[in-house]
Amino acid sequence: MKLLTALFAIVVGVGGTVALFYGLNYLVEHTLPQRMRDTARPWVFIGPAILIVGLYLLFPALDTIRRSFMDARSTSFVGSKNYEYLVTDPGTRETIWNNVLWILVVPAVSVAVGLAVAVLADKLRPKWENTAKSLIFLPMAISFVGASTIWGFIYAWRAQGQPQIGILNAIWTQLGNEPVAWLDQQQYNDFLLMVIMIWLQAGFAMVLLSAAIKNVPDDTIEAARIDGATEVQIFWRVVVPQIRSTIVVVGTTILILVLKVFDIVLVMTGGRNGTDVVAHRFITEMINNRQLGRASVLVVFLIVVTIPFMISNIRRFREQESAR
Amino acid sequence: MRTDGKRTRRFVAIVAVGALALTACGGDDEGGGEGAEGTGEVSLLHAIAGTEEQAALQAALDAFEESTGNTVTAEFTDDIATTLGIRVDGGDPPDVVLHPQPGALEGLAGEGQLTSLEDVGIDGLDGLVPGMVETGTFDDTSYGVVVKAAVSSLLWYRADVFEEAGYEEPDSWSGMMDLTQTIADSGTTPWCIGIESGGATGWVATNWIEDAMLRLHGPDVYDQWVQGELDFSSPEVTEAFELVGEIFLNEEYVLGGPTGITNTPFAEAAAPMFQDPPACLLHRQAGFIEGEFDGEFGTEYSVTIMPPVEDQGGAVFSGDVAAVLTDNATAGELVEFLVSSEGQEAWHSHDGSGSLSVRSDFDTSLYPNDSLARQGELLANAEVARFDGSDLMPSAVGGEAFFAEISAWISGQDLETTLSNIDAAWPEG
Amino acid sequence: MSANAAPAPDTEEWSDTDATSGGGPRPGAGGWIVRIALAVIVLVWTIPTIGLLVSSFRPEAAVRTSGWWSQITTPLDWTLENYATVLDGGMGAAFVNSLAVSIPATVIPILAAAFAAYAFAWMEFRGREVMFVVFVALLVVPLQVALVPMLRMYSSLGITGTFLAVWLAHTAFGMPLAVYLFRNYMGSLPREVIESAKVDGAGHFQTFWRLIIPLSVPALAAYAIFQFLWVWNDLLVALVFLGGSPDVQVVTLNLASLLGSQGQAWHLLTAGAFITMTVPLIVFFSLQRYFVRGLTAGSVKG
Repeated sequence: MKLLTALFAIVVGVGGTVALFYGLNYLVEHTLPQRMRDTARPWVFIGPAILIVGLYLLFPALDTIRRSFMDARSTSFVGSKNYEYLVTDPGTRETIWNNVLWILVVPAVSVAVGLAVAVLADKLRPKWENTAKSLIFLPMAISFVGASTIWGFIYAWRAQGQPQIGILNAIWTQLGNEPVAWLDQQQYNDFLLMVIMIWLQAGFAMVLLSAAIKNVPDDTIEAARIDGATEVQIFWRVVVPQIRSTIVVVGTTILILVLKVFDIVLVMTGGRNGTDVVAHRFITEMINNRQLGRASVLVVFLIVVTIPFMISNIRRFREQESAR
Repeated sequence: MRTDGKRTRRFVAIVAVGALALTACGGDDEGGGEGAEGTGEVSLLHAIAGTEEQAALQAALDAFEESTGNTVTAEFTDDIATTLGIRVDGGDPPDVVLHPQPGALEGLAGEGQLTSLEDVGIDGLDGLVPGMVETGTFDDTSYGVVVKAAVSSLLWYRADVFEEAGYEEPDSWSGMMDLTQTIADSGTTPWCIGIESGGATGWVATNWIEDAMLRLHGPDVYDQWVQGELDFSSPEVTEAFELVGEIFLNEEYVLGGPTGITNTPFAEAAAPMFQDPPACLLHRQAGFIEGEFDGEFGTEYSVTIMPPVEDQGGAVFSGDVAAVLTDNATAGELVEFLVSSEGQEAWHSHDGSGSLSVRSDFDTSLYPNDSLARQGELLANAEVARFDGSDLMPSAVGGEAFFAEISAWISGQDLETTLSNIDAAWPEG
Repeated sequence: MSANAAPAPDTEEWSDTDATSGGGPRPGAGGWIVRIALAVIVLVWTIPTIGLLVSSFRPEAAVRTSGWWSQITTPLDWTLENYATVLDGGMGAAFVNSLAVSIPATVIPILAAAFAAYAFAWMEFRGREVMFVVFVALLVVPLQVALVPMLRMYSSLGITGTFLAVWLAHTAFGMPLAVYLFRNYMGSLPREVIESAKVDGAGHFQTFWRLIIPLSVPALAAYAIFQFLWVWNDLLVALVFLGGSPDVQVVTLNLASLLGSQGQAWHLLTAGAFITMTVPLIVFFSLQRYFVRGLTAGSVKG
């Protein structure tokens, strides 16, 4: 019975969406006068997307910008007070610096690992290729609570003399050292958290990059090979240029995820010991501290950070369109 | 240009109507029951996790449905602060909430989001342990009542080792410190303490400070402190931190020293107590921790309450406070039933229950095991009982700064900075 | 790998030795180096998961007191109890709920975003670039800012607690990324393909369904995996819009409800993590082959 209800819901949901687009198209093609059709047609295509994104994201985002100039419960305007607070707050500089590190490290390393696996696995027999790729992909499927438990088993610390249940300390103490509380070490604890993100996201990078590599036409590779290029040269001079746009997209997507990352920090350290990042700070201010004004400033910050990358994307699309 | 804009607008309108039409036929509507009078239906939001604990709660709800003919829809959330905040702000509050943080309820009461117990037909509640109604009373209006309690000030110890070595349950804080030194001198680390709890790391240590505050300065100063009338930087709170620091910051007293405290998950902290030979003998934690023990109550381990400082004792407890968010009279019926003898019996005599009744006349023999019966006695006999202070403070302090700063203090930050940082987190006004 | 590349792996076996002598005909160079390098990466990537898997078969006390690897050297005490406890806790119904949430919440944004991406890539209309910039900018907006306004809207429409409410929310949150990915992919399709369809008299709507969608399958499939994983593992959105009562609980919430009063039941978490992982893995394996089919799109390009 429950199964039937669920099945019915799925059919209605998916079918309804398809019907919506057909219906809209029908309306435009059969009810509007000829001259209006061309104007209306693009709106059939983007209308539903715009409507839903406008209602659910754009409107709240604009509202957030407004709230960034208001007090904790958004009851009165306070000018730039929230901005001043965050600029003068000593923790903010560290938080932003941490975010910069995340932005520099995580997308690059995730793409590098994903690319390496995609390239190397491509040279194996399909059976082994699929096995290798599936194993790299595996972490993506693990729920967040599962992933944090796993990394608990890796970074865990126990008093000296107690059995170490974290694999890092087990190896470390076997080598004759005292156990180290890894996540307390301010010099590198940020990187230990980044490792988790990379571990989760490399599979995503690999999936997209592998598809792109397989789309590189064989004849371009053959031609280079006939010219006497080595495999390494072929990779850098033939394959990489042809999958460049995929690399950019994958890197961008992971960059976005990095900007939004808060759960890894929340679960592993709660932002202590100099590991805080902007998105986690935002959650703390909004949910725990109920400081809507300050939380909103952080969202504005995230949006501002993405401006350069929006510009570069637009530029790239213009190039793409003029080239075809 | 102009006509273009108009066309666009008209088209968007058509799209919007289409989307709404889909909306209207797609949903299987589930109307929330709200009304001026009792609707006979009541929705309940709670954060009680664990199969057994949930079964005990369900037993109480079943008893309510049976005795009144009303129906209850219970919803669980793993993050009550977020869920309730969004539901209230979004105009979709549950009728009743069981909230572990009275401080959050006080905030909601101040925003006018709670319905007083009187307005849902509850005239007065009696027969309860002192403190249970007071916890849910803000500005002299009663908005909620504790429905299940757990004593936090419990001192667990290895009974068999105590007997063998001739140690006794300490009856004063200084006696406890002497015992600590004696155990340390014997070559065993006395305490197991672990406060790691992911994003909430530190809460275990705050319970120690609450015990110290209640014992050093009595309930009135404790109340001023949790209400923000007494600064953390005050001599009183400083004294409490120093008292706790005598144990926490002494490498010889705690397994793994301060590093051990901040890095050991609270749930696993007591495990070394059950190694052979035990790596520590003492552990302070609320009753839930017993589920993690690898021994037998009465013979291998036992429990008492944290000892008094110069005759001032007391129990710090935590629990869930039932409060009403709508004007549904059935919600009032539910709250009243949950603290009645009938409701408490159905709940706390259930095999899955791991918590204590809030009724002073509750028959302790009904508890599912000896340990809970003993804890029930400790609560009923405590000279004063106060709710967990960090749960009463605004969450910017009680759920954030207090946790984070006390952890930093244990890791080596100086006390003055620690306390002034917590003071700085109090919301203005 | 397309048909003409299929024999390649065999050649690779033979080219191991002569790879040093100037490069074989197909990707043979350093066959063993490739294998070892890959084996190392895969091993490093898999160890954490193995730890989780082993732990899920260990008794609670053992999980807390010794490293999971000690279970391998002293294979005592393996138990299925963690799995039994998790499955007993209403996991079955939660699976059905999660599927009812996840499937439409994956398909709907794909459809809507594919239409929008096509328009952004291949149609001319006013405000196109501005609107696209807005979509991209919304990528970084945390969904938490949207929850309250959305719930208010749902309350006035009376659709809180319905599947529709959750689908639309996930659709919105997944939309910017989908539009961005699809626009990128569709924009790289060659102009001749679209032109030739127009010559055949097909309108945009037909071109989209008959040509663009089939050609974009790799991008759609990649995003589908991503979105499905996201929705399947989501807790917050489902909790807010669908609610937490046992009859609508999704898998993640059901698991959270098993974790004990202080969330300390690690041993159940490990088993739960593996049970919940099965569905995303099935989705991954069933969609994986569509990446290969993507070859057809690539070959048009060449």
